[in-house]
Amino acid sequence: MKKILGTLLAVAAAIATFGVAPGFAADHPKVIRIGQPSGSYGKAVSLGPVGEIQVKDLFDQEFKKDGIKLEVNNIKTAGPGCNEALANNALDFANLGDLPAVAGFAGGLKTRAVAATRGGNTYVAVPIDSPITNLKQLKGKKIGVSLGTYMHAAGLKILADNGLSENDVTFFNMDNATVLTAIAAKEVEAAFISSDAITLRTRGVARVLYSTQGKPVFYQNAGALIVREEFVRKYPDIVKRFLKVWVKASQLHSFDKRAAQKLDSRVGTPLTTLQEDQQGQSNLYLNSPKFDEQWLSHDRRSIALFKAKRLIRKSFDPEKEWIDRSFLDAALRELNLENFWPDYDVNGNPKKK
Amino acid sequence: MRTLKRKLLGLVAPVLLLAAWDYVTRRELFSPQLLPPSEMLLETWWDMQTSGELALNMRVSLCRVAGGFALGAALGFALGTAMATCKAVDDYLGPLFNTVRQVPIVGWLPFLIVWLGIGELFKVAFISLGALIPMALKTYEGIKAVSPGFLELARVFEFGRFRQLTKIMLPSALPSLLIGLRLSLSEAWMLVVAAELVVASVGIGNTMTVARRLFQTDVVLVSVIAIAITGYLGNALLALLEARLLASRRPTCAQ
Amino acid sequence: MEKLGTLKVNSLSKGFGPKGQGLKVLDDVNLTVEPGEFISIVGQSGCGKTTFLRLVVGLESDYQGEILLDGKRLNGPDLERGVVFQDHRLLPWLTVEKNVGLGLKNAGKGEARRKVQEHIELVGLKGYEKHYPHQLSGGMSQRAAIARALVNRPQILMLDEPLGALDALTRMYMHQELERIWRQEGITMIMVTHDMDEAIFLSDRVVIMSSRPGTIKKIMPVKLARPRDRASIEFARIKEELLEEFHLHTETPFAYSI
Repeated sequence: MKKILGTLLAVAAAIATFGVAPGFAADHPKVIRIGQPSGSYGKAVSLGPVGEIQVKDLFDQEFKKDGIKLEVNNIKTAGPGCNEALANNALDFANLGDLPAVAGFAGGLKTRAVAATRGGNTYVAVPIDSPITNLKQLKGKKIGVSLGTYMHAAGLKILADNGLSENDVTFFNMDNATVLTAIAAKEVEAAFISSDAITLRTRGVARVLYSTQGKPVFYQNAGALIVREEFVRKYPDIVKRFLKVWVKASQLHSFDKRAAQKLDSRVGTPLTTLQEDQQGQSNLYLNSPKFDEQWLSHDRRSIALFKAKRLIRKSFDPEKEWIDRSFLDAALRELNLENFWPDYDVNGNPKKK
Repeated sequence: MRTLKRKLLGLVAPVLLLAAWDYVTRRELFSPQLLPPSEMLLETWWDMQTSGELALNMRVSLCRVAGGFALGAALGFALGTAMATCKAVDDYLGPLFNTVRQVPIVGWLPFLIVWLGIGELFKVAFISLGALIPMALKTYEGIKAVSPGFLELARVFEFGRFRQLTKIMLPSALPSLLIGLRLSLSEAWMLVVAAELVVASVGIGNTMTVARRLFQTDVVLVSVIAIAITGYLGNALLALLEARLLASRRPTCAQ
Repeated sequence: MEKLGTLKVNSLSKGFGPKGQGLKVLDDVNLTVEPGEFISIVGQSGCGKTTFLRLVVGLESDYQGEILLDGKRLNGPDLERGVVFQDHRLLPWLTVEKNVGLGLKNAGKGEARRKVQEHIELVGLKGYEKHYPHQLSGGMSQRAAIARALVNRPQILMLDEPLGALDALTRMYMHQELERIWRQEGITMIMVTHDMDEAIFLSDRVVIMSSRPGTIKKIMPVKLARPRDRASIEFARIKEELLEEFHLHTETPFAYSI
């Protein structure tokens, strides 16, 4: 009995001293773990900058000499799942949509936003033979959505535009893959989903009632690459070098839209879907990592909306409390890319120099 | 005096747990998202209370529990009684019942969703299925355990089936029936949360799902505590009923 | 023609096991019990005395021979025959009153209450109507059980070692009570016992059974005036005679056959 007690005390002391996951102060970690919401198709490959990093071997070029490996975790439970992984130190970085990034920080997750991400339309899909013809008819309907994702956030904005609140509809939380089958099986009467809506329409099982395409940029996603604060504190240099890799990847993804879409389609989304989804959108805009006016105003408005809708319980100032531009700025400077991406104004238009 | 003392003893563990919790969170041995500090919980609880969020969701969940429990316990009682008193029913349904109950109730979720959709009907059916099994089992066991001497008494007094059931079997099985009720209720309470975690738009389980998706660990924890307290109260209520119903009984020496 | 309430057992045999063909418990038992008679059946364990009693009550079936009440073949339990078991079998969830009224049939509410009250008084439990079985002593429990068996006014009361679980003093007191009730009610009582004093004190006739298979060895009339005196020489003499049947002599006058 005494022995057991002693062991317990020792373990408790160890936890107290080293924190939950005993990490020893070294100048670099053995592995950098990044989390990315996985697509609806369950493929173990990633899109966007992470996809570029994987395909073009960018990470190894920078870190191989130190023996540091990259571990990409495609997380089926999307942004909220990434938050949980960050909370128990199972991830270092995560590429999150607007709502999960903000909700994590507001919920007490100690993170830093180190690069902006953006792009991601939300669609309202209904079963092919649904009698619903306009958004006002969503009142009282069952809506499938992956709660806590940017689609959830966009859905609230769409409802509000039509004089509806989240209390006027019935949300059913489902992961992305389940939403797709639920719409096809008519288990839900509508869904707030990503460009997968286009694929469903092509397959003849759903109708697209609405999309944020061509709507003000506030309706689209504007997320962030975030990193655990503790990781930043321990390995500032590693974060700086990782940002260099990230910016390089963002640049590569910005050059040729068609090539970028082709790369992204590896996750299982048909190329035609991606083309239709991003029609009319600037590839440069979609891949800019800069915390510009557009991003900041989007984030501030989002925080206010989430607070009002009780999706977060604590409001905060992203500029003062959350964003750390130093690594991004250093990377842009070093790669001489300070002027590669324009700054965008609140409406998403490039600002004249 | 002694019972009061014993009741107070039950508070020792929770109080110690709270103290340990407070210590751990104050020292920040765990990050606050993993284990929210107690004052944060109080604050969240107050917020959920005053906004009506907690009451609304608990009410919805309780209604589901009430419906599922009432239906499940009634059916379980009927099934258990039928199987225990009628050999043919036992022969026909016994093997099926004993096979079905090996499946964890949650295993029925996908099927029930396919059959009944994701609305209230599904939830009540799911909960009542879970409540039915312990009730049927305990009813069956209770009746089967009736002392053969009492059954002989029924024969001596020329009781018909109905009188044998109501005068001898059910009163004798009452303690077992009450255990069945308690198991049923706690099963129902667990399953409502399970069902709401899977698909719901309102209810305490849904509150937890949404809070989890939005990384509101404090809300999840407040919900867990609310569930625990309500469950405890429900159980205590049944225990009170039990104490009243069984007050006149004590083990008799000659049986 | 026999008097109403005569029990006649003719060449009764009973075996257990497949179709009653297995182990024989009773073999060719013949007995006639006159109405109002007090009969005791004594014998060693396994002599089939309890089986005999259960057959007469109707709790056992599949026998050879005849059990006739007023010339009619018995068919299952009947309110005409009451029974008191060794374990009192009071329902623990009912009060004395409710237990006594449990088997009452064909009585209106008021009549039922009156009958129950009457029998509670008969067995001397007045004032204990609202008590639960766990609040009663062993002797009181058996009184309640006797009241319950008598409430339907059966022609015959069967008693299966009803006082076996009581202490010696209580038992002796209960003997007097039982005799009083028997006299007051004027019904037939057939009691299974292994207590010789009890048998002699209460019975008009003592039926001695031998075992394997159970047969009636001897029927011994007890022609002593009532109430009987356990200390009298006649009493001792009958007891000696009885014990002799079990090959137990007077050196151990108080030994029971086990």
